[in-house]
Amino acid sequence: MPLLEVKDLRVQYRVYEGVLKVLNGVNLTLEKGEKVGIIGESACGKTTTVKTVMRLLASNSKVTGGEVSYAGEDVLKMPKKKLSDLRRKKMSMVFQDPSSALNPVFTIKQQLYDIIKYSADGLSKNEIHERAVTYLKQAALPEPDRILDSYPFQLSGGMKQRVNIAMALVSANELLIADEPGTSLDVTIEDQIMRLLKKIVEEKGISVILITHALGTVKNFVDRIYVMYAGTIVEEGPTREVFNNPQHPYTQMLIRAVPKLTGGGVPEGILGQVPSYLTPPPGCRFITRCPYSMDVCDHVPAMYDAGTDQRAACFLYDGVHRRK
Amino acid sequence: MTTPILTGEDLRKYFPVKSGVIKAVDELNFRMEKGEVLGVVGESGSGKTTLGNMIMGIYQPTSGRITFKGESLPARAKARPIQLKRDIQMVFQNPASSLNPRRSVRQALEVPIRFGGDADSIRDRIDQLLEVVELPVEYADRYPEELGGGEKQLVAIARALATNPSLIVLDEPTSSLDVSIQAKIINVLMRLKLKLGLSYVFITHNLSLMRNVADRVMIMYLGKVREVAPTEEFFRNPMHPYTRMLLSSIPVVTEAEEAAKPQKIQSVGEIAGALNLPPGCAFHPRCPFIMDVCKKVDPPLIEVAPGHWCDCHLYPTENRQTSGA
Amino acid sequence: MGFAAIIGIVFVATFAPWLSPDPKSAGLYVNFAAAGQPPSSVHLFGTDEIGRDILTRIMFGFRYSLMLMAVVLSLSVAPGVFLGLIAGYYNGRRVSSIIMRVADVFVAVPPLLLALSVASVLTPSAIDAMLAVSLAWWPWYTRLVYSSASSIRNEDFVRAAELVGASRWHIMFKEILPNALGSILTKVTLDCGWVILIGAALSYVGLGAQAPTPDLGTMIAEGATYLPSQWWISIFPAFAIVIVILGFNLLGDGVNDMFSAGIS
Repeated sequence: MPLLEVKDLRVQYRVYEGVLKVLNGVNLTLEKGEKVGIIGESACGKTTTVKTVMRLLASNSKVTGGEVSYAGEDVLKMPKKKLSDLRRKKMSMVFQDPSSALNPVFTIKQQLYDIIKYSADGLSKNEIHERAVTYLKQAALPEPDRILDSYPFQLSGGMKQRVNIAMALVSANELLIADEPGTSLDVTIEDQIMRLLKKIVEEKGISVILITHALGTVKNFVDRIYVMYAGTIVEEGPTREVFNNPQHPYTQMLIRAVPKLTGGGVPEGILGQVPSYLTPPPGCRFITRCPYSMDVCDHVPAMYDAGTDQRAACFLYDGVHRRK
Repeated sequence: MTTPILTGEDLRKYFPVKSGVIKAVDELNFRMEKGEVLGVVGESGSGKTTLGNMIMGIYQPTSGRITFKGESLPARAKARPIQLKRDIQMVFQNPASSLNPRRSVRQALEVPIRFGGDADSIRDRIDQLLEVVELPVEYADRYPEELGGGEKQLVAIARALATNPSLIVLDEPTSSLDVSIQAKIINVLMRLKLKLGLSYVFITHNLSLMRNVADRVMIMYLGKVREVAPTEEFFRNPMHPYTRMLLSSIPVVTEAEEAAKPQKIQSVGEIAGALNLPPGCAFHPRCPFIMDVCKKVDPPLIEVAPGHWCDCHLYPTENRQTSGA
Repeated sequence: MGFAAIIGIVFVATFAPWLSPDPKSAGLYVNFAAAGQPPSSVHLFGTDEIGRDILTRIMFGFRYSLMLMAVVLSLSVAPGVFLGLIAGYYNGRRVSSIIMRVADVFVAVPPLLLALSVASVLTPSAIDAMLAVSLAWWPWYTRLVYSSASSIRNEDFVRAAELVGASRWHIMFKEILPNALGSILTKVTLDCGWVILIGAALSYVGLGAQAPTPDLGTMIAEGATYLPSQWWISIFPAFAIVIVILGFNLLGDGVNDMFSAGIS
């Protein structure tokens, strides 16, 4: 049984101008010990998806369809106490901005101790301290005692992110969700953080969902990739295959749009804009920018088998239609 | 040899703080030719943004000078005659704060036009500017909140062009944009450069982008230039250990790129605070090729191959002059 | 929010003396026959000690209060904002420090006290009360605008304007001010209530409008001696003040929401 299963998830937000129909039937599975990446550009719904999994959605949001099951149990309907247990002991999240996850007026000690205290029952003060040091060490932080006594502003971005990872490790015994963990960090530091994260999750057998818009970051980290566009999964497959042989037109154009280290000139980019969530196209949401759009694209495409172990939500792969 | 459009001579910018001095930029020498795209690459604390601000006159160098078109550039922007001010323009990193949220595109573009004295046909000029950055003319009456990030940047570029500058300093102009939009902005910038004969100082941390855009690449680390070379040469033969560490760390997308990366130098350690710089070469705590001399003596910037400068004790080991303990 | 605006409008509507049941009561008028009558169908709020209809006097009192408010705010907001813009734009320079220190001096003195001292030096009258309150009021706007202006000043779009050679007046009024407008307008609406209150306080101690001008504060003062038996003489004017202030507060909230929604 997969650790996490998201089936046909539909989520919308209510805003001043109307209703944003963001998630349009998202399907996702995560096996135990697997590392999965969700890539997509800003506002494509990747953060909304994982927030739904952790039930951290804002009050103006509504799940209008689908289900989320964790270890076979329905997350969306779970009673508060059970959900709280899940969050304290099984799953956790690392966010994009290392500073915003840390309260600037408390020392690291105060924040980390709190998390440890709630993660297990009946720990003595000494035990809490020892665990804190252990977690900090696992996150490759030198001088854990000094870090514990520091305030967030005294630490660099990379160190803060490592503290966040340590804090997430306390409860992420089964599932860790990392939302753009390296985006606000310098390239060399991001590299270190990602390597560290990879080492930790592989050692402990933690399942990971990594979200990012940086294609290169996810490539070296995850086993499988989901590509999202405008609230739908458009392609899914093993990392290697998706990058070397992208099937969905959006994935193809996205990879082409990245400037290459090997040269090749400035890429073209994808003309047009993401459709508005207020009035999304009735069928395939990529229709406005797709060079291969056909009449049938007015309907929502299913995920068809494509490439090697891949699936793409595009009528070009339904066995009937083909590229002109 | 034609006059370079921009040079920096022994530029230093020091910020005194309570516990010492932050040497944001130190002993910086560079030159840039007309029509060139100079890529200034570095991570946080490298001093690249400080350099950009000094060129614009927002910061004044603690010592050293900048020349523009052969003449010494007055350090304070306010001290520069208005024509000179308008000859060098800037595009900022954050599209959201680049445009006044309370003013429409038309109002934003009016400002540079009106203060330049050529106020006869503002309307036409605005239309012309929007066309040149490939935005629909109807956008003139829109407000920033109605525009996407990429479109806001295009308006910012149009505003920079409104004064007919010769040099534009671009401070991470596409870093906060999605990949699919970045490409469009970069394309517009490169087309404009050709069409209008512009020169760009392109500040960024994105080496992959520089590979495809810059004529020369200059790497900065903790205030100093570590390596500078023409693009092809730079990527074919990266010399400085820091450059190679950077290149190894860049996340790339294709197998071909992976193969093209220099042999992996694992990034270790923190980027040292600019406040308490280590003695000798500031990079030595993180350098895998560290030698004794690196801890004591700061390496000078030497032309190791034609046009290719590097400051590292590794190069060239034979005919080096020690600059004194 | 719209609800609050309606309340505000209702007060403005009360401007018109044509609404009042007994206009004569607003002026010099004495009718001992009707004196001291509790609220009744003829006199909804009762009559005061010399027979004037209280409801009418309240309505006219509103006119005076609103006028005071308009005058004081016009006198204090414009210079206050102007000085705040200058202080914010030149933040870090001497001009800015001088302006802010002067503002600090005025702020340090409690507004009522300041207004009282000024008013007592001049002959008590409505106009002088307005002047006194204005003097106490401007520095708050300077502070408010200084705080907004000094941070807006560092935004990229201001930098960009400077780099193309825009004049400082353009930057202050066309770039910075529109962004500070939200907090200014919110404060103005909230202040309306406060000014009225202070004006009433001044009148209460006799330094504002003089008899027989109907003024809410004066009415409370005059009626105080008749409490608690002829309670209506003081209570209704007091209640009227409460409603005015509440109305403006709600309006202010609404204005604030309106501007915040735009920014995010």
